[in-house]
Amino acid sequence: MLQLGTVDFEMDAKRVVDSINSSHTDVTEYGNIISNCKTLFSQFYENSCVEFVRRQTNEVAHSLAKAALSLASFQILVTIPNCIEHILFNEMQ
Amino acid sequence: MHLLFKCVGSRNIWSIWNAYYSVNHILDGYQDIKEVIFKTLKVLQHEDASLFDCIIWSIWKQRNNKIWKEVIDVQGFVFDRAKSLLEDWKAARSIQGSTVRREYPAYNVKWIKPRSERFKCNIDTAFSETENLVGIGMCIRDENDHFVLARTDCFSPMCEVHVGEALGLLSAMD
Repeated sequence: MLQLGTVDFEMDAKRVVDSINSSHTDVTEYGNIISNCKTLFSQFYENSCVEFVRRQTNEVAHSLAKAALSLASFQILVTIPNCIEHILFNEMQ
Repeated sequence: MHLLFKCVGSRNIWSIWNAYYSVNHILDGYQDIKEVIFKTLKVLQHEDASLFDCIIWSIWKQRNNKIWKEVIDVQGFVFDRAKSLLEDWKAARSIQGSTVRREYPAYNVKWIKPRSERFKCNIDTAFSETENLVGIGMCIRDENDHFVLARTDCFSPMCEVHVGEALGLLSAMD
């Protein structure tokens, strides 16, 4: 669990974002994951939102996900990893 | 396959095009979209093959307009757009001696920092079919667009894209 203030989530998977924001439920594996997310959401992220963004604005997460494929295990990075340094810099406002 | 060829709307668009009658039997013979497209391209004359590609592009564009811009393109327009794309392309190619200049549309699709006193977490999932892996990446930034934390996770076996993306969100919230 993230010990931060209010966190908003952004992702480029429209289907997932739509499912999270809808009240529809189903009994597939997918539906089950979504309902787990909804439970966490209502418990810990009351004031947060899950939003859909275009792929172009989600490059940092995309690069990390690709990097994750070649990392053996779960990692938490508190310093900026090389693979996203230039993207973070470009996205500074 | 459904979107490009079998959907009623798409079939109407194809029916506007005369040359389509000579190739629509290919649709029934093959299940795979790649096969349908490449077999069709082999059968068609050069000119028709070009238009075939443009129509596919235009149908896809119609789909994007609907999803992203909530604009509905009428079927006749979809066909005409394909034709004018091809004509414009040919016209552009026929201008000789002109220097090639590329202009990119002024798209403003950029990451936006969170509102004040909030954090933003971007999440994405990547898939590797050869390694049978799913990778999850997430990055948190603060209101001053400063990096706070990143996380990566990886699991096997591969799963369907929407399942993997949902697991990405779950992993980020957990």
